[in-house]
Amino acid sequence: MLYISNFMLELNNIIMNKTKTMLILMLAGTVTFTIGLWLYSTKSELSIIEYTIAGLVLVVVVFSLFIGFKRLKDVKKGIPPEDELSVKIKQKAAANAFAFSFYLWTMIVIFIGDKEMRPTIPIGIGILATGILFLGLWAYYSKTGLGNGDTN
Amino acid sequence: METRIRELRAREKLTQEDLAKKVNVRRETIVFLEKGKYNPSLKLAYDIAKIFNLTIEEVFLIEK
Repeated sequence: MLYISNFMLELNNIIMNKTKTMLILMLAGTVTFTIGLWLYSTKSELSIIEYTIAGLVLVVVVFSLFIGFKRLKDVKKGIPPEDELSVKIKQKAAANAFAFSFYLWTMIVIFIGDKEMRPTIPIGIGILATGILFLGLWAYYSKTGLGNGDTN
Repeated sequence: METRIRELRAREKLTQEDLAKKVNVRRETIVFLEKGKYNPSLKLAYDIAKIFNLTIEEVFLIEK
C-alpha cells in the first residue's frame, strides 16, 4: 500500500514538473510569436526605444527557453528541477528585484515621465527592466549562493 | 556553518550527484552545503545525516 502511494506521489511529481516546464515553454513561444507578429505587421519605422523593448523581450524569452529546456532535461534525468535552495534563490531574487523596481520607477518618472510618448512605453520599459533585474539577480545568487544568514 | 559532508561522502565513496539524488535535491545544493554557503532546512539536514547513519550535529558543525 505504501509502495503504491509512494509511486503515485512520484508520478504526480513528474507530471507537475513537466506541466510547469511545458507552461514556461508555451509562454516563451507565445511571447516570441507576438513580438514577431508585431515586428512583421508594423508599417511605420520603429524607434530606438521600440527596438530596445523588442531586444529586452527577446533576452527574457531566450532566458525562459534556456530554463525550460534545462528543466525538461533534468526531469528526464530524474533530477528535481527545483529544490529548497533553488526556490529560496528565486524568492530572494524576486524580493530584491521588487525592492529595486521602486528606484527604477522613480527614475522612469523623473527621466521619461514628461516626454511625449504613449504611456504604454514607460510602463513596458519598467516591467521589462524589472524582469531583467530579476533574471540578473537570479543568475547572481545561483552562482554565489545565499550565504549563511539568509537561508532560514 | 561548517559541515563534514565532503569527508563523509568520500568515506562512503559517494559523488555529489549520488548524494543529491539520495536526498532529492539538485547537485548545486550539495556544492553550496559543502562550501558552507547554505544552511539547509531541518528536513534536508536530517535526510543527509540519515544517509551517513549519523546525527545532525555530527554532520553539521554549528559555530557559536
